[in-house]
Amino acid sequence: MKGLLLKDWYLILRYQRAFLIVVVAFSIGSATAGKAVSAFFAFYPCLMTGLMVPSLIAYDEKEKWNVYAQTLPLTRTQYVTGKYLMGLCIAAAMTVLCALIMLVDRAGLSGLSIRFVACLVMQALLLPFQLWLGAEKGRLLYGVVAGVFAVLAVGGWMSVDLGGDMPAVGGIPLALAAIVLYIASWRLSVALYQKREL
Amino acid sequence: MNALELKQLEKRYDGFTLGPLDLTLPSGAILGLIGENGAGKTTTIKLILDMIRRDGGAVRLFGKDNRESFPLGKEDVGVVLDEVSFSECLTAAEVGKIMRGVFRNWDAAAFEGYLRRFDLPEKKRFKEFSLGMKKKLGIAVALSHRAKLLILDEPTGGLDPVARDEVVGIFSEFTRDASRAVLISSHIVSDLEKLCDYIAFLHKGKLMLCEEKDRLYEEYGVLRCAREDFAAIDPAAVLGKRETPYGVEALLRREDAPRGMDVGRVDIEELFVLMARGGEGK
Repeated sequence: MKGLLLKDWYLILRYQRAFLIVVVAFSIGSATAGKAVSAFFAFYPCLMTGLMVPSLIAYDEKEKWNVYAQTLPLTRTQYVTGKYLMGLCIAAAMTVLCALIMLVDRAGLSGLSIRFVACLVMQALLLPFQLWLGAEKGRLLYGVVAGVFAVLAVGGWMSVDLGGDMPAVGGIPLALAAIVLYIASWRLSVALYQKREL
Repeated sequence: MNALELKQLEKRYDGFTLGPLDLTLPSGAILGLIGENGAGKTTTIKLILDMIRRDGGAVRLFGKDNRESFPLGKEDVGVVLDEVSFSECLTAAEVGKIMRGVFRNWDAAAFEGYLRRFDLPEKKRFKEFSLGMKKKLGIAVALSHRAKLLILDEPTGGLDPVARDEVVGIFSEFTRDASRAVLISSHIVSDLEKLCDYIAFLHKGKLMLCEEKDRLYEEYGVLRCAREDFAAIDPAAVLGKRETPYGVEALLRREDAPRGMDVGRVDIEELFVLMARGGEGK
């Protein structure tokens, strides 16, 4: 398992540097832009981070690592669990980054938990499809979800006052609910991935 | 103890059925799996490693059912698939660090030794490796976690003759310890002929034979004769034949050869080709 996480970390550093730059830039932008920040601007880092683990799975399939991994002393459950752990770490890192920026900017922590929730929910929805059907179909689904989201945001229907609607403390139950959803998604992915013939 | 036993192993796809296969690889031995493209060699290897679901039969590694002993049992198995699949952005040194986190028995010193022996750069990315270098890296990984069984699918493909010779020597060295064994599939029959104690022929999903290599030489031979002489031979004795401008080359059991006719030595490649032709109708 440690080896799987290390491999994914190397892939993030090599293939996903652009993601990291965009996430940092948008996190700084959204965390310091005040209360009435555009939802698209605020959630774009969530979309990007939510895409990182699905991209890792796509790389695994393209490079046939997922096939080779089966020759190693690892179970399919460990492979799936490694991806979900990495997804959780990414969501947590993005949240901590936003929190730090908000604290430095003395903007308060409003809307922080919803960013964490968005990142987790995105992955919870995408990963079972990716692991079950493969990267291509999973990516297609991601495109549909992101497209709908972008249309809503551009249309102005999703401009929300993050500070007013989503206090940091009140968001904790929401974050816990997202974690429960994430765990349910992990269990579903484990079951689906067992059945997949690679 | 047998390193590997297949009992009535079977896998069914639309239009292709592998097996039922019965095959035994004793510890201390090397078994070469020969077959044309699509014969089922890779499928057999995937079934042994439980990478795909079997439809029947059993696979035992060192006496234990593979499904029960995996994934821990894979600590004892070094694998090289036909395509070595490390992420293209990784360097050999990083592959070593990853494998240290995967295998309990990872031997970093042995891995570094193989990198030097194979002349593989530690810092170069996998995508910049040639096909032969990729194979060598896969072989280095398979040999660096104190495996007892090597399962190798076309491990010498893409290697130049000098590198092939070196790698074949390493595999041969591996089984000097009688508790270890090697299952190797390859199209390069000359490598298998040099290396293997046992030879198995797989043809269209069926095992045509599995025998000690030396027994094959003793048991089978090629009769080279004129067409008129060939016509006098009992067709039931002919296991396969090839017509040439000079006459006929027929594969026979030596005991079935007509008296007075000289049956020559058959090499493994010729034996396989003639048997496969014979299997398709003499």
